Amino acid sequence: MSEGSGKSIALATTLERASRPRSESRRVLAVILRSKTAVFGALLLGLYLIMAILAPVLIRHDPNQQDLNRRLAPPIGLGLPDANADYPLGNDNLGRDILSRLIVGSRVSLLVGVSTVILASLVGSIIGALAGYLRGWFDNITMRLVDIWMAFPSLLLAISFGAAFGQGLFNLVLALVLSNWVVYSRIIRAQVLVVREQEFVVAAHAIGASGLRILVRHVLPNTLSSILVIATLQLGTVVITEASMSFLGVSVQSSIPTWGGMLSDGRQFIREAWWLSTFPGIVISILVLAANLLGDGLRDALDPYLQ
Amino acid sequence: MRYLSRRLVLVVPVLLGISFIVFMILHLIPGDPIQVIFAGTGASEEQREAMRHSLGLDRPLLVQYVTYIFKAMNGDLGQSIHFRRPVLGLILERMPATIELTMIGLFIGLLLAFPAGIISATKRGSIIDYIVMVGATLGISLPTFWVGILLIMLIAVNLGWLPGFGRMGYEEHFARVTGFYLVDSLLARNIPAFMGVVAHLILPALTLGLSEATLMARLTRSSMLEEIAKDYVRTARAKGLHEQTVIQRHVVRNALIPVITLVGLSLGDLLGGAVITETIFAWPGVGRLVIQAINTRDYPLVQGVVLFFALFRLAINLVTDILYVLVDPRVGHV
Repeated sequence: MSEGSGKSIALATTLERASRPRSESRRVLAVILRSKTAVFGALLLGLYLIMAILAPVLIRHDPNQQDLNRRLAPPIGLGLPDANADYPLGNDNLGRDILSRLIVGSRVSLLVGVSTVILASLVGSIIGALAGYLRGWFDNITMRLVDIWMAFPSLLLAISFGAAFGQGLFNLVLALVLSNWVVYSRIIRAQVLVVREQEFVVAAHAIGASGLRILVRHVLPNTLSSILVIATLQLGTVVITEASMSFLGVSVQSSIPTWGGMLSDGRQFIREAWWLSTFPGIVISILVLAANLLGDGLRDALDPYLQ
Repeated sequence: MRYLSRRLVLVVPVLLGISFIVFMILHLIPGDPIQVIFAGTGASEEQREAMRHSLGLDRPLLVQYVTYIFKAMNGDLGQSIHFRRPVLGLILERMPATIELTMIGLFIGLLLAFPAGIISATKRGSIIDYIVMVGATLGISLPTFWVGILLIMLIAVNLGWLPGFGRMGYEEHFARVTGFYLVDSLLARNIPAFMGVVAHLILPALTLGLSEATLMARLTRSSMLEEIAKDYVRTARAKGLHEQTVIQRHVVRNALIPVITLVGLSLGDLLGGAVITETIFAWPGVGRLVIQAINTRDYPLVQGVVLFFALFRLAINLVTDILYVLVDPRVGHV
């Protein structure tokens, strides 16, 4: 491509961005709404959020209340003996209500998933944006750090950090943020490198805007759509990682119901009570599916280059 | 050559960084690591001090780190607290089990992914394409450990078709030569034992392979679609080649090159996935070892395994890069 045509494309982009403000977000919303799967994913995610928020109202039993008479009692609707409509999904090995535990378990998964994704995207994007904008030694060090981080399998890194920090919600999120921030740094750095050369940034420089102002007001907003796409897709991965960690016992205190923990408890009873390890798996999968569907839809709408 | 030497030099800071992060795992423990390691064991003060000394925690941090690196370079990854044996030996002992599982898992994954991806791309928009794409999206959303549990529940427990735990039955005996039971049982010409080993491998390898297959099927499909749209395909069709010939002789060959590169890179992820799969299937490999180490607060062993996985992955990436230069000389000049 010749120098001239590169310039005119850059100019066209500048003009396009100048007329961007509200029509852009409307266009994006329109594209998302047209994708049935993305809308479906968003609706499902919404339902999970409502379930997590309203959990104390929705449950009929204390999730930790044991009833040894109902130990391993089956779910209703299958014609199995001991089924009781008061416990629609049956009871676990200590006679606790599975439905209530599933509902309360959504709180850990969503709280950990959402806060990890928000924090990891913040930390990762800031580091990536600074690296791309400042370049030089800061960029060099950051990118080596990213290389180092990428050498570890992220699940193993999260488990090891989790094991070192000890149990607890805060430690869990910390371990997950530490093992998930890198993706953002890489992609945001690459985007900043592209954006900073564009004419509207050069123009901002020319009228005397400070470096920080340019970064925050002009460069970062142009990377927001990528961050949003990666974050949505990452939500699914983080939920699975959290469930894996809970399954392995490297997560929150065992008094808090988690889906991974329920699966781990149920695993010992797969011979006599399949429902213990089936239902938690289903709720995890649907949540992850919802995040993936919405993420795919967002990607199609916002960022054709990420595909 | 200059590219390769630069690439190799860049490995050094990454190695230092990896070792530092692994080293820090022990030091990230809040409070006194010794208290955590001995929590609830009622160990005496002398035992605690002895452990503190043997882990080097009584020396300055920098000294500890430098010692750690030098020892690691000599193959000394420390002593396992739980097994009371050198960490490296424990890892090497279990390595064949993990490699065997990972390789067969990869094989199964590709066996599913390639045909699915190729067919769905050539029949784009058809019901088969739809099924493959829906299957891949669903598959990515299923947690590996749940898939493993479901397979054990359905196929091992309910149907009783295949074993769901371990590498082989207790009644089978053959000499351990390589540690790869598929090879060892064949070397011993013990066919029943070989069949037993295969039977034990199927479910865990399928669990691992399914997670790999979903991603690879998507990649194969998009790579195929990209290739089909190229001019040479139109030329091939225009000169009257049979559609099947065009796909088999031209498109598939070119489309699979980028996918195979990614397969190499994903080997590291597959090893990470082995941590979960091995734990569920009681597979005596390195992945299960690290979980045991975490549960027994055996930090030197945790550090050793994490370091081992990271080095393995780094080596794979390096080899992939080098192979790329050999295959495509243009890369070296960029």
